[in-house]
Amino acid sequence: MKKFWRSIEDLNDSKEIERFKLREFQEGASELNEGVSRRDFLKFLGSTAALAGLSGCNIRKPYYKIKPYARKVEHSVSGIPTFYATSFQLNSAVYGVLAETHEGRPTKIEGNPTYPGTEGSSGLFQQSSIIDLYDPDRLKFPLHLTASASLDDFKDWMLRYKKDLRKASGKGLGVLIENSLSPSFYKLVDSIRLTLPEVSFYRYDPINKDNQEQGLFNLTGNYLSPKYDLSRANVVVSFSDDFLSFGHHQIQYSRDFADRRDPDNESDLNRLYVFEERYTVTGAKADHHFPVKKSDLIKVLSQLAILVSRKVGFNLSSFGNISYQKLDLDFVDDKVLAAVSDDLLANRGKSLVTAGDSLDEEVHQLTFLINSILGNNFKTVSYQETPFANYDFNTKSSYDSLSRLVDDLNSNILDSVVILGGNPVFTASQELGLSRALTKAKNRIHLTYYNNETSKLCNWVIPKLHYLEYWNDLKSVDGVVSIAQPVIKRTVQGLSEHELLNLVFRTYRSDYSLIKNSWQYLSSSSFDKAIHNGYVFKRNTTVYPSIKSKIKLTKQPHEQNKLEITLYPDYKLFDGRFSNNGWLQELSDPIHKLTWDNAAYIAPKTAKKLSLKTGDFVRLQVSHDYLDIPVFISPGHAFDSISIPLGYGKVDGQRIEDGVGFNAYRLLDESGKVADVTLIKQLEKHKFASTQDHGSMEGRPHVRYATVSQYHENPSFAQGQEEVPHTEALWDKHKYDTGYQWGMVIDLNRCISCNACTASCQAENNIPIVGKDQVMDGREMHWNRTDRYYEGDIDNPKILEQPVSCLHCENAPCEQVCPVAATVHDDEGLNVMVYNRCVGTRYCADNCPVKVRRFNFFDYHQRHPQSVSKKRFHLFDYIKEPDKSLAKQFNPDVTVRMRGVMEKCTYCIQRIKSATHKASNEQRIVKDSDLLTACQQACPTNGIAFGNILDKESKVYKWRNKKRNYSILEQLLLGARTTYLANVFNPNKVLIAENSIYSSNKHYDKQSKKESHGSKH
Amino acid sequence: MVASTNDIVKVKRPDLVLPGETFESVTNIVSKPMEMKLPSWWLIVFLVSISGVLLLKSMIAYLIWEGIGVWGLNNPVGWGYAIVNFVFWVGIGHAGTLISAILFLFRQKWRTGINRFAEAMTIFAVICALIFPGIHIGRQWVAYWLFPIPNSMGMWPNFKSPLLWDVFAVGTYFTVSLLFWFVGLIPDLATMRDRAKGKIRQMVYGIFSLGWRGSNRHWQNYEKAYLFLAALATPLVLSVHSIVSFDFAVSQLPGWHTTIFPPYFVAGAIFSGFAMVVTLMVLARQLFNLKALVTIGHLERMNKIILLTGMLVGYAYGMEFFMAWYSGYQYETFAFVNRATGPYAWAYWIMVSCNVISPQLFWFKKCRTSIPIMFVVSIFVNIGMWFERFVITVTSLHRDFLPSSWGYYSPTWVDVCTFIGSFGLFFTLFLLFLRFLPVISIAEIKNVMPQADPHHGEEH
Repeated sequence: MKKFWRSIEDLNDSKEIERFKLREFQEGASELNEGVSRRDFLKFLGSTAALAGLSGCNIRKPYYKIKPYARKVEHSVSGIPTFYATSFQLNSAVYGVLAETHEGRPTKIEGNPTYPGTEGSSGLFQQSSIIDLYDPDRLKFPLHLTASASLDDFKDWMLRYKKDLRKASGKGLGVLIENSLSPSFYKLVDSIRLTLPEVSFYRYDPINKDNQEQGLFNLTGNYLSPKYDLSRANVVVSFSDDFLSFGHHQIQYSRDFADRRDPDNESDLNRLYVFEERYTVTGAKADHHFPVKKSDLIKVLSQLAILVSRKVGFNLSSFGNISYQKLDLDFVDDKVLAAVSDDLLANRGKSLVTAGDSLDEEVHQLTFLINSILGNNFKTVSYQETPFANYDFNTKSSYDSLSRLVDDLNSNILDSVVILGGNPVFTASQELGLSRALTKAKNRIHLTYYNNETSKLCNWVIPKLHYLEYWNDLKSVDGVVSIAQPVIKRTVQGLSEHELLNLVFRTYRSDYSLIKNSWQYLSSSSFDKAIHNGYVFKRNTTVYPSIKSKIKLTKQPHEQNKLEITLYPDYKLFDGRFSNNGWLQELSDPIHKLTWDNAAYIAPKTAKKLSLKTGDFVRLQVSHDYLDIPVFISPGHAFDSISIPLGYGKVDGQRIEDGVGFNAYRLLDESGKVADVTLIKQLEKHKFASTQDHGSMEGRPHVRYATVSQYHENPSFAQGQEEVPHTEALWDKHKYDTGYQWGMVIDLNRCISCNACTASCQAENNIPIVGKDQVMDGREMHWNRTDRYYEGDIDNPKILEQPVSCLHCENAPCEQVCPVAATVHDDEGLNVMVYNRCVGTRYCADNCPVKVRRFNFFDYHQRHPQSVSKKRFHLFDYIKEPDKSLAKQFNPDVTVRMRGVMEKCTYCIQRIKSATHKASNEQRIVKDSDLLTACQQACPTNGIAFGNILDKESKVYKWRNKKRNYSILEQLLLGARTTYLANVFNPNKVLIAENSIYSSNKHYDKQSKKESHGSKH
Repeated sequence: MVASTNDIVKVKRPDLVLPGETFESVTNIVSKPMEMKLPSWWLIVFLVSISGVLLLKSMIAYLIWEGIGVWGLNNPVGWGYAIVNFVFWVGIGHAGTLISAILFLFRQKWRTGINRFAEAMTIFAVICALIFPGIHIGRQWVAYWLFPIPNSMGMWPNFKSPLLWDVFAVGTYFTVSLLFWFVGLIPDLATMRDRAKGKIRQMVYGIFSLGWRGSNRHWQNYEKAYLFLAALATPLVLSVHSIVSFDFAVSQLPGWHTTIFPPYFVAGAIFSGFAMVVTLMVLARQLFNLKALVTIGHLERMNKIILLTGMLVGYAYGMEFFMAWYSGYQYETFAFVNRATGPYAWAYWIMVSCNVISPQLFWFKKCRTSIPIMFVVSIFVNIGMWFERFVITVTSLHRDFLPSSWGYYSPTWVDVCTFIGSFGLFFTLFLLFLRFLPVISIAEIKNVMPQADPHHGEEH
């Protein structure tokens, strides 16, 4: 063997050299002392490096090629986010979204600008869905008999189980699904039915459109989903239809609706009448809002149908037993009905009548009928073929399907059941006995996001993937087909619905191969293009149904004083699927401003009658169960009616949802309805965490409004409603007339208070949640809030909304009082917060007239309910830190604030800076299209204009120069950069009651007097 | 008509020291508390007070460990107990310098019986006050950023901020008050040194008496220095609370933004300071048997000042309402109507009854000179003045411009314990003062005794 030598000594094997060979550093060379050895030092060095690139811990790109969107393809340019188009399904809606990723971490969701319908906007569900991906409470491994197992274990088990199944050709297996809109999913269903014909499928959705579908099917013989064209509707009459909040096209509806609220084009201003049992987001935008008990809605609708048909000479009796009936309602009399029907008739073909999903089949049939009498059908309302409606489990209503599953389980027809998603044990009626029936099956498999009530009864629990983790394809109701790509490698050992369904009849195939297989006919380049754009194509699925059978109205006994209960999907938690989402829990309810709770909402008059106050517990007793729930008085609610949002009240839930709110699903009876209920007042009291305790504007002109006619008389009615003192400045005011001068205008007429802006701001700016007790103390951290005021009669007030965040006053009161100059003005007109400098005197917040400054009373990231104990290196590590997983959502462009400092809206300064840098590199100035703030980007109604107020081309410049532009608290001479466009309502002249806010508007009158007085001189 | 000097009817002023006392007996009376055996009541009260200090310390430690959130503050109400306590203690710290400096310059000889005592109270009250601005900030470990310390970033505090003015005003006031107090103590410390029996006592008193030997030259320098310091301290009496009031007046919050605040605050401060002096004096003269030196006459004079300042304060309350109405500014009007009728009406009416109504008893000589009545009234005034600051701070904040952000503030146990703890600190320092320093200026009081006047009342 060849021998290598380093020196003569080495060659000679001298003892001396041995020492050198063993020691890298010679004696006398400095070495680190004991305690931290060299090896340890390197370890620390390494761990520091690893921590420094925290994102690096889990940069896991999906294995298959995915396409970045919009920005240049060389992704992974450090510090520059990459956007990927994808889409996801929520109940019966499909949302096309963009996922913003920083070095492989998805951090924020935006609407996909090219996706038809949403055009770049998004709602709060899209915005908040990102935090679900990182939820540390997610199920991470499969569970077999409550012990953790691996996915391979499950696959092995399925292999064995499949052998038996094949022998029985599928007999004994039931699959319970949630409504799916994936073409590939149905392809798999078809394949299963081919190979295993005896497998039965069931469907259960707690929130569904079954009544509408079934009603229209019975009437026309088609499975239909109506789609409204609000851009063409001059008059909209909604019967408890919250179309601005929920449904297939909520975002498009919101935009189209808002586009018709521009008072500068009179012919273009629409009018909205809402008849509903409680105040909804849609109701809050109504020009006329009528609280009507849910059971009375059909009476109003049928009388309206009679009036309309009478006037056009249409014989209604040939379509069913619709007869005239004298109405005895609190807010709806003949005058109202006549006015509404006249208005509808004057706008034949340009009006719209809609009804809420949860209303009875007959209501939807009547709506169809009235729309067709008015000639609205196929004009302002088109009908889409409901996708995949021909599958037996889709044609049956959710409740029928589920009760059939229970029957089959009870009669031992099924010995195995696969539940794909959902939590039916929680969301279905207890009276149905699903949990008891489930235990009769031998094999119970649940694909689920959390280990929930249903999973606890199953022997195989498989983690369900987040929509950003798997390949999917979706077909929306109006025919937009999209392929959804993952943007991060799976963070849990889980399966997609497709993969699990596939395992039922053959060996494992990946989600990618399953989806790719469905889209074989697309060429590789068009497949790439489809995932790049976020959708494949839009297919016209419009159908032209006609009435084929008569409407049978069941006579409902008129019981005026009978208490009635309405359950509805929560604005934040929907059916409960988002209940472990801290962002959504802490968002305030758009109407009641409640966080971390639901309640039984009742009208003030009902509360008086039952001698109840907000916070009083009541026991709602139904035949099989009861619910103890506190009441909350809600002005504008229908009398003798209680409404409760669903989705709350998890017992033994995950860390965020646990013990929050009250489970109204318990009131459902076997048929999925709430039957007779008795109310018993309890002695206990409940404390609500509301973000706004005071609902009256106290006669102050913060939200300014006028009717259209008032507006035309006096277009600048909104200006000068506050008495501005005459002052002389001691020094010259700073001009702010060069460079960029940022400003924002919020159009109150467009705002629907949907909270998307607040959710978007939370995701963009690393805003912590604080928990219920802190919200009760008034310490919520949202930089952006929407104020809600009631004006007028307490039984049926008008709701006025106003989003408020930092106004960026040129003459900012906060800046003058800060002793350490931690909040200062920059030359672009921004009021900037220097977190590093802030010592936390809170003087700025005291002096802020709009109270938008938020103080970190605690380290809220550390106090998060999902925080973990920190590894202890020194004394002060004896504390908690945010969960590593949640920390991955943080936007790296925004500082995470520590405790003891003040924070507030920055106008998304990180976005301003990145846009101005980009523009200056390209030697141009920033245009409107270069820069959107987070709130503006999310806003589904385009109600926020932001940009350079010196740029005459910018939208913000144009809006600022509108006559109804005003700044709040102008008497303080703030020089606010955020201003508002005043509300202009379009009430029906016939229905303007005395003393309503439309007829007596003291601020309008005062201002008008001043104007006319001024013009004389 | 010019009255000739002969027409002036001589009114015999009441004795400032009860007749029968000699120079020696005065020295003995004042020195007694320092030289007697430790009384058991002192020990008990001291133990209670020192536990208060411990409570204060642990509350502060807890606060710094957990964050400001342990207090009851919230979004509309960013300032609560801490600022209320700060203003309360600074207010109390007003009487001392007023009595020492202003009354000295006005040659009000009756001040000699109480000035030492009042000055000591000032120092201790300001110490208590100074704790609160330091701990009420969000990041207490960077409190020093409020001082204009030259640094490499060239970062200076914001000189436009009233909070910064506060730092200077209270800092200066404390320094000058301390100096004034100490200079006044020097001759007495020398007396104590000379009377001291133990080695340590001799040494400690010796060091602090700065080599005083009572020579003519010493006395000359001393008198001059004392006069100068009195002149220096006088504007501070007026400035410090004016500037504290700027914290509120300079902001734009209805209820805070008021030009009446500086004089109103100064009057209130004197009011509360005198009340605190009466409370403590009544106790001390009883416990240490100082009745010969602190006579009912002294107390009556102080009660008259309490009556006067109480009415000044009452006038300010009324004037605030008048201005709120007269301005025609709805936010201002609302702020005051809300004070008297809103959710904090209870605090407002406690304030009014304690500060305006209770001192009216002092119109009657019987009440002015009754120890139990003046003690109770002085306690009422102390309570009322604390509530005045609470009303100003909290009721203005809790309902400001936008009704959407209105809220309610209630203190937590930490707030309350910190406040109690600050009393512990105050009384601990005070008890130490009572035990180790002459509570009445021996040198000065001898000046006002008949023996000191060689002309026996004949003024020439």
